[in-house]
Amino acid sequence: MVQIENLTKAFDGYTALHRLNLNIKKGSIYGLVGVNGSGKTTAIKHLAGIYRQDSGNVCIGGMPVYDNANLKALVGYIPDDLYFFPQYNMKSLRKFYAGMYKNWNEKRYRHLLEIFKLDEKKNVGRFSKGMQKQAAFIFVMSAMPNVLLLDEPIDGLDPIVRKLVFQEIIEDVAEKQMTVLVSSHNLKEMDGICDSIGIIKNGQMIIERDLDELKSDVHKIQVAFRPGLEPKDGLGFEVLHEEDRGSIKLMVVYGKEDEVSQRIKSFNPLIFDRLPLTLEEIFIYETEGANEIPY
Amino acid sequence: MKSLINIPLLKEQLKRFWAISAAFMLIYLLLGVLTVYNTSAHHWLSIDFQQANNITILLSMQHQVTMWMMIISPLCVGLALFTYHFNRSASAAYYSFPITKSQLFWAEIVVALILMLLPLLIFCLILLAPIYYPGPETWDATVERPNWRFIMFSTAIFPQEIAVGSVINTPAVVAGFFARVAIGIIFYFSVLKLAVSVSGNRVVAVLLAVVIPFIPVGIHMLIDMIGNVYVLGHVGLSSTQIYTTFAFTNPAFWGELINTYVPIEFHTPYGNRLLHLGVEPRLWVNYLIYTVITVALITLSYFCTHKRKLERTGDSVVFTVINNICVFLVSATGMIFTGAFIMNMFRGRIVGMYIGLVLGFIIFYFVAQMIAEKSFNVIHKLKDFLRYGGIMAGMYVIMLLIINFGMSAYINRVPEAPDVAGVSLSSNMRWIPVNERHNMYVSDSDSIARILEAHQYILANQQQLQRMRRQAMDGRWFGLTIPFTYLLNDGTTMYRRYDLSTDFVISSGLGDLMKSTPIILAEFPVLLHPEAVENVHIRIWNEDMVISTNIIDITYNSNITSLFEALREDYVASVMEFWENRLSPELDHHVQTVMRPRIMDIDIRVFEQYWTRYGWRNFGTTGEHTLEWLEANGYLE
Repeated sequence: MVQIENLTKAFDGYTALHRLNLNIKKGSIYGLVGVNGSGKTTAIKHLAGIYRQDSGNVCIGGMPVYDNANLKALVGYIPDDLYFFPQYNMKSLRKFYAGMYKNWNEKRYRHLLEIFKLDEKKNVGRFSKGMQKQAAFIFVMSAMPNVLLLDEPIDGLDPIVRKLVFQEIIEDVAEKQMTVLVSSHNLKEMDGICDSIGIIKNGQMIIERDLDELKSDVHKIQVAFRPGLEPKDGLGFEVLHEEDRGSIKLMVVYGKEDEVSQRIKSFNPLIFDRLPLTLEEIFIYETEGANEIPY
Repeated sequence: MKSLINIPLLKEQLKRFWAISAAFMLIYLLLGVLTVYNTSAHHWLSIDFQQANNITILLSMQHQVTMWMMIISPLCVGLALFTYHFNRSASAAYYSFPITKSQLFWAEIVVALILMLLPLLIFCLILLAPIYYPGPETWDATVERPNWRFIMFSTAIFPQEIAVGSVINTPAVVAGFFARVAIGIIFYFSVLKLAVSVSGNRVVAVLLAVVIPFIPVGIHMLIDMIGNVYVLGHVGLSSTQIYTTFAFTNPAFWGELINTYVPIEFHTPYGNRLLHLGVEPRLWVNYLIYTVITVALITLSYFCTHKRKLERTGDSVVFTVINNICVFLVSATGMIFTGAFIMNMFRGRIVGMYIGLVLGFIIFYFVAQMIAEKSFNVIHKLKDFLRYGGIMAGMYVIMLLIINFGMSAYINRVPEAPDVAGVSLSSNMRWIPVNERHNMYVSDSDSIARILEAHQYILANQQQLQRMRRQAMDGRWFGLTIPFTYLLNDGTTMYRRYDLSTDFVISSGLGDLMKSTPIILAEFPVLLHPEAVENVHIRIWNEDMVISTNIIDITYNSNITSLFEALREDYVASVMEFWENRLSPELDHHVQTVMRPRIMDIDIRVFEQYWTRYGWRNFGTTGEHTLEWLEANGYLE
């Protein structure tokens, strides 16, 4: 549905994106995560048709996005730095959006306005940052997009509003197969809602997996081997992270759960425990481990 | 296929910025009211005269507010509409709307046109109202024929003069006014649009919009300076010349510039110059020039908008190539002006010019880089400085080589006497239509020989001339610019121009030539052809500069030959007197340029076959022979 292929973008000699690949299935929620400056916003701006790529393809439903008005009418985009026409209130913005977007749904607008309890007559510029995000969300969702691009959407939102926002999104995904891309630093939040995850670093996609798959393939273990019986040639699977805590090793490893267990147990360890692993930890270990990715 | 303009966006932008248009409407209305009813300025003029004069000033584009509106209205509308080009989040929001770049571009253009032109259109419709309320026929109904109190403006929208009481606001005149203001507004808007399309910074965009109209002027001045310094007799580019060029080159109207390159019939009228020469300008050429340039600028800005990358929002210039060109152009322009300025300080020494060129290039290069980089720290641009400096020096050397090896023959050429059919020393030659210039050449062999001799003297004494220039006691150059226009036997013309000191004019023999009757009469050849006269208007002013109540209107009659003898005598005497004063070494040249009270103006209407259908002359003398003739023939009591 949403596809980025070998996307490269440079700003004044600095390569922000380097042969980036990204795939989002229709009707899924995709979490794009990465450290600051990794290229998340740049990638999203390409998908929103704002930036023109230096090379590569950026497509939605097989159609290139840049300067494609028909396609952009089906894409909802909430940037991190919001912009509204100066001196406009919700009412006047509603008129504008209703004229611009053919799929505008007045019923939904009223519904969302009621949920978020925003004053329709108040100048949007005077809203708090969180309220402006809510306003943007109301307009974008009322335009009934097929693809929703959210760049750091929950920054500045309180937990109650955050829950409401995601509830609405999930409903749309379920009901009308809306495709969603969310970039965020709040990985705990992403953990609960995303179907798949892409981790981006230095403008490159280092991991792109279904979240469940990712979690089932990455394991955090603590293990202590008997003296002299430590595996000398390694454990035989990829280790993302390893640290010694006295005689106990803490490891984050890749592999199928059964294979990892069997392999460790074959060394007859003194201690072997599987510890819970969060998305945040996967992100940290993955991005640490990817330091050496060259370009 | 998507429509070219996005209607919802267009409506929204109109809704957002209608107040700007309303403010323009208010300015136009105030302008209209003040123009018509402001009658207190000159108590000695009657109210209807003053009102007619005011409205004429407005409709003939002489009103300052109209001129300012042509620049300010595009600037206000442009900056309001294009603000998002200078703000990243705003740009991102606009580009994320479901519209193409083309739709955004054309919506902006249409909105801007509506906001700028609608108030003007309404104002013009209001101006048409006086057609139905024209007011009194004449200011003095007791006088038998219309009492001609003329309002004179050299514009194409009026015939030569308008009588008080005549309806000025005719649909054609008002339509002409609308067209001219609209063309000016759209032209300047297109300049601003281009500036915005290549810039990501508001201040730089405005600066560019101001500078762009001066680029052709700068190129023209560069050519002029090279021509003056190296080709046409080593005349420097004086600060007065710079001032004149810029003063008459309104940012919205390249009047002086266009006038330099098109025949007089197509000149942009300003002041009374064309009227004095009896030329009716054909403004459609000007309209055409501006329209073509406007279309070109809009097309260029369309492509720039398409090529523009949003991520460069905030940069001074968003295209690297244009950025480099701008830096080069600013450096080159600054170099030329500093060269001219320091040369002037060095009293015309060529070494002054070179010092100025080098200094100007260094200063303006780094200033341009500071603007481009938005930082004072531009030391890392030193490498580029050397590159640009090298290119500039290379171009200059090539130009010098071409001039030295290719132009020297041209510079020092003086035609042989047998090849010359006629010669003129008139500075008015430039303003005379080409097909009418032949009347202004002096063709007697004595005058031709003397002029050739003076020309050779100038070329042979260039070093003396330079020395005199440097030795001017008070550091100023009281010179006369003398043009030589030769009509050669093969039908071609040859033109040279020299900036000479008063002493040099005398020593070269040009002083005597200027005072010779054939040369004086060549300036006003109709005086030699009374048989061609249709009628003569004579206006007499008293010493308090008050116009006579009656214009003396003399239609051709058998006595007119004697009138022309009197006119010739007075005219020759007045010009001789002028040159006596001008060339007198004792006189303070500042004082002598002050005009004496005019005693008499004459308009001579002649049949089409002579160089101009109207002749207008201000006689600087008492016009004693003419006054005698008028008295003797019953025209004066």
